[in-house]
Amino acid sequence: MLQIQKNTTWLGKLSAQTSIAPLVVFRIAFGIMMFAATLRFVSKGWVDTLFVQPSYFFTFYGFEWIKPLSANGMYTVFGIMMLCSILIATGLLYRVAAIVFFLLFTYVELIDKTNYLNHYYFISIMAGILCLLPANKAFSLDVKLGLAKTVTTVPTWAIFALQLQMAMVYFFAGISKINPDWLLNAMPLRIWLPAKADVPIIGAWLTEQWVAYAFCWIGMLFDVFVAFFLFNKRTVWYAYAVVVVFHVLTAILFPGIGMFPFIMIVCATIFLPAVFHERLIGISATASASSATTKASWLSQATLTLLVLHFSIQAVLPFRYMLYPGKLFYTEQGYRFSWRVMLMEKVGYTIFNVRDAATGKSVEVNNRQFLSLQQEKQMSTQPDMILQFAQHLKEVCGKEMQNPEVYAEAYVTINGRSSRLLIDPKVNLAAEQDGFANKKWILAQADK
Amino acid sequence: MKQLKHISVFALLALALYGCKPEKKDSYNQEAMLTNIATNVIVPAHQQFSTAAQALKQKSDAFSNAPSTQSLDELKAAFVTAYAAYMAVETYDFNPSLGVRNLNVFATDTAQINSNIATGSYNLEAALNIRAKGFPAIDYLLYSQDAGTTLNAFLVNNAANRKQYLTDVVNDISTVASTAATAWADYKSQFAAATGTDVGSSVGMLVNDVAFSAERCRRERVGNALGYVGFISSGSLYPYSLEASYSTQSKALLIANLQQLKALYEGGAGEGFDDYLASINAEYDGQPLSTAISTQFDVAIAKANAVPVDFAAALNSNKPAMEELFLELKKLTVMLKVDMSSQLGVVINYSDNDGD
Repeated sequence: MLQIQKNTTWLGKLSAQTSIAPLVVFRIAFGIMMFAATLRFVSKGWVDTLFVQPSYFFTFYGFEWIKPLSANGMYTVFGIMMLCSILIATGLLYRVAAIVFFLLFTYVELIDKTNYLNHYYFISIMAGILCLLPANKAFSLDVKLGLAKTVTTVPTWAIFALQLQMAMVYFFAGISKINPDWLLNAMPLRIWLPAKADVPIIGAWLTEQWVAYAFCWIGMLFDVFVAFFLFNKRTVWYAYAVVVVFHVLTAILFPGIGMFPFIMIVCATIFLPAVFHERLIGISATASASSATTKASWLSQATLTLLVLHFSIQAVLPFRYMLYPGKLFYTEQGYRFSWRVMLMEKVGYTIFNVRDAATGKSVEVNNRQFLSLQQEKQMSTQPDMILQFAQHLKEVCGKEMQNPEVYAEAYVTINGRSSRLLIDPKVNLAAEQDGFANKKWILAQADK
Repeated sequence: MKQLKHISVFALLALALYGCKPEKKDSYNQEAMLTNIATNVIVPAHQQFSTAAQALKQKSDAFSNAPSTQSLDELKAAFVTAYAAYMAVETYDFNPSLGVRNLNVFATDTAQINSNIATGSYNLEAALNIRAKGFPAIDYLLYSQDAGTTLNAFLVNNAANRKQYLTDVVNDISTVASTAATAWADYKSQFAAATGTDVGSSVGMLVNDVAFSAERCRRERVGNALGYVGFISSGSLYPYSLEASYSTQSKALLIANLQQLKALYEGGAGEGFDDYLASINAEYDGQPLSTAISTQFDVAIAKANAVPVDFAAALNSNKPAMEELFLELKKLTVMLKVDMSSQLGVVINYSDNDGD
């Protein structure tokens, strides 16, 4: 009995009404930011270099059917994404815009593993969650044009879902930093920071070893704990200030991470008190919010179920690596989709040999004949991509050869260790298959 | 008010941190290393190449004016010297020496060369002619047939066009060489000032260049010779061809290139990448990476010397020696391209993308 009562209060709390303002501000900020990010992507010429120029794409397992469109098609996709982000920001045809944006963004991310970034994955998820939330029900064109009814409150879970996703990103990023390389060797920051000695003001410190250690420990503590302080009403403003300082610092030190720091700074505003958001958009809902719980419709029940399912998967996904033997940093089996950021200075160099089993003739392949610089670089350190490329070579050569064999010699260094062979060079990769099963030909499995 | 108090605490902390900012300290002095490398390795190499290229031009002009067995021999000698001198500058892909690598694109396109000579109208700057100029083109013009036949070709039939083509190819080489030598002398200070390891920094570019050269030695200089390396066309495997295949200089050229690379790595007698790696205590299999790489250079050079004849001939008689050389060059390439670049935090083959 007690159990059930507890559950109802917990559920009750989540379905209690709260101000819609944080959700509305989030919607506007997210839309503007996505517009800027998409525009930046296009103007850097990346649509061309990442989706038009390459002749081969590293698809995700199970998503081999995802193919890039023609150049015009890809630019149209990005154009529609920009349009949708404006619609999201202004709140016009919001649901449709959010769904189209989510689908297109995710489609683009699924084209090639080479481009996988945790923050792209994060945007996909946030866009997905936004599809489910009534973020257009105030301060929007939908309301102004009578396409949606104004409300001043939403169930608490609508806001909580966004907060929880943010919290999970920080928390999992934090616990992934609890590893010997990061905490005991200050790696890879010990390699990366001294390279930034030219940065004004702080640059002079960055060559100091203790600074690398300090960054590592502070970074870990920040990631693990910041969400708890963001959730706490008394500490939220201080926590948010720390969020801003932290991400601005990473933006200065690692310009290569692109929009990520700004995305986090903007998204973290979802934790700020509702009154702050209300003042921003000039609505007042705190009075009517009180404790009035509205009866949940079947639609919101379905939404809630979907969210619970999503977060359950999110909670276990980062731990799936435990199902595989060997050192995660080498094998990368279960590495993606787990909020592991900046953990490795990993450099690889892979030589492929194709052998005609019938004649015994063998040649070393010029990887660049098939791959872009970026593709070759990413492939060289990741076993599943090495296998994919080997399979591609098999396919290319299979046209003329009866039985092409493909062998890969991959040398990899991680966090300052001596380079070593990543996979077994004697295994014919043409005969191996991709999948979720353990890839036995990855070396560095025995010595965990 | 409360917020204001907290802001002032933050400000004070920031000021305090700024106040105790450490002096420019024990970090490795990149500028000194770069100055040394420029002064004692890169600039002299370019000057030597420029001198050798002028000598080549002189001998080429002499030959064109009076083709004879003797003037041909002198021209060939000047070619061998200039080609070896070129090996000392091929590594550098910096602004002042852009285009230098275009002087050694092989295999040379013999059909294009013959057509250029026949028509007498061509533009060596055109992309179409990238394989019809530079040292590989001269290698073909002077060595592809026996001395008597070669000499004859410069005396009869289309002799005027052939002489003109030789002159134009040689002039192209000497112009590139002298332009690069002059430009590097001016570029030296800018080069030394571009510290850091980011894209565009001198260290970043040098490490990329060293990786490029080591890879070229392994893949194209020795791998091609062994028939290990090839390309795939409509599903079939094709081998690439050997460097300096007509003049049989491939072994000498490899050794010249490796010696220069080692000099660059060690900064000659002064500060170089070995000292840089030592200063950050980079390790390789329990020993300092700095000495491991120096040793590997020596091993590779020794293995190259151990091949008794030029690679073209060694393929038949001394293939095992070639295979050993290939393996040692692979080791060297891995150390430079993977270990050294990673330890120094240099991105190899930078392409403009976000990371995380």
